[in-house]
Amino acid sequence: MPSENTIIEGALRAARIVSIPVRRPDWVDPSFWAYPLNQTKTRPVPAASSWLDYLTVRPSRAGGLAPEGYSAVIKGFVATSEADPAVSGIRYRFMLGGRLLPAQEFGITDAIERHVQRNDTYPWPAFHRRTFIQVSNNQLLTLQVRNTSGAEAVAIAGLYGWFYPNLGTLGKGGQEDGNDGFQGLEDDGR
Amino acid sequence: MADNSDHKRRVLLSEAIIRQKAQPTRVVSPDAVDRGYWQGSTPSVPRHMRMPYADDRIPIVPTAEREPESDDPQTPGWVNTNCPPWVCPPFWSVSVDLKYLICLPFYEQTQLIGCYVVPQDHVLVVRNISYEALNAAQGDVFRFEFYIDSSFVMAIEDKVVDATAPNPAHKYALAGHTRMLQTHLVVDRNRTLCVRGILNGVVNFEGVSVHAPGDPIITGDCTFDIHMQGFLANLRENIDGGPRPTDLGDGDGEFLELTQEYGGYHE
Repeated sequence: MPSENTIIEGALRAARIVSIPVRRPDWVDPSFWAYPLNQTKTRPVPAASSWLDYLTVRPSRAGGLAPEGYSAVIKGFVATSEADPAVSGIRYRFMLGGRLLPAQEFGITDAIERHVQRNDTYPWPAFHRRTFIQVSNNQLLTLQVRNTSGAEAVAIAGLYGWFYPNLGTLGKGGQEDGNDGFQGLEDDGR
Repeated sequence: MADNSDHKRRVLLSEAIIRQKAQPTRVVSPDAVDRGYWQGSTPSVPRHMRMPYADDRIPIVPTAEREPESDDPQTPGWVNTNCPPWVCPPFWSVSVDLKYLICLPFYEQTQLIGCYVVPQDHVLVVRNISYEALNAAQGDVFRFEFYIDSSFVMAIEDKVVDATAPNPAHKYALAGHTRMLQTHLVVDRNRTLCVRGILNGVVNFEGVSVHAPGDPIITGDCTFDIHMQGFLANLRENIDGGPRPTDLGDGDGEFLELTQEYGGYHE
């Protein structure tokens, strides 16, 4: 039998050689397997329009940028207008899966939306506003725009984030480290 | 299975406790006192040579840093936290600022702006993008398309909102050289990143331009360029060029044997 010191030293040694990859989740930091999500648009919106689809994020549908099994996270967005927002009458709202996101229908106020006051007298280019919107692989996120004024107005919008592989479908644990891969497969019954 | 291993662990633990109780009380040696006193600092007294473990099979790497002569600090263990290269630039990564500039003389005509082939031993991470379309007039819409190995990745559409701004960084709505557009574009080794550009001109809501393909640009300028900032993260061992599992950590040297099998750390 090994001595007590050998046991303790072995335990310490095992503790030393263990390498635990500490990684923030994919919806916090993008990983190697993430696809970029940068969608921007600058188009004139007709006068007195109803709500129109402006930017659409569909993670795994045909026409999407990322393949099946990906979700999306929106980390920042720009939603403003070229003309003075006080008179342009542009309104935006986010629709997720056909539903209006709570508290996500908004107009534009000049100082906030165009971020003029940030140590720069030029209003352009616009800064991002921070947000956090999760879009599952079977969901559809739409930024809709509406022009309430009597004249055509140019809407300027952008969505920034990334597509990331779904944890449930890709077996990410098996890719990341060898410690929990098989255990995770057993838990999922696959 | 679990019950059996748990039983073994209990037996080992109980035997260790019994053995410890059977031993006489330990007397703290002056060496231990000295070692505790100098723990964590550079010893100026005679050094205590490191006692090898009974099962010490750490391979000696001639090119790597030598092991310390004195005792390790009495830390019970630690965890390697590796920030992957596509999140944090590694120490040996190379900052890149790709600039591609072409003359785009016509509206509604897609043109290749530039391509970059990622080296075999690096992964390219693009973090920020900015651009200029100096040949565009006020209100013109332009678009950049990004391709990796000919596969479409993403597109950016922007517009000239202030053609009179003296600084080209302030002419466009969504990005400029002073406020770059943030992205997360990872291009693996041996892959080719290409950027194409098109100047649409004034468009309606559906994106239909007033210009026909091939209409000449009349602003007189002929500059269309894109800037991509990021870094090239190295994927190979910096010492001898052997492949290195960058995401696995160094395992305190325990992976060296494995690395040797795959061609790294040749003596």
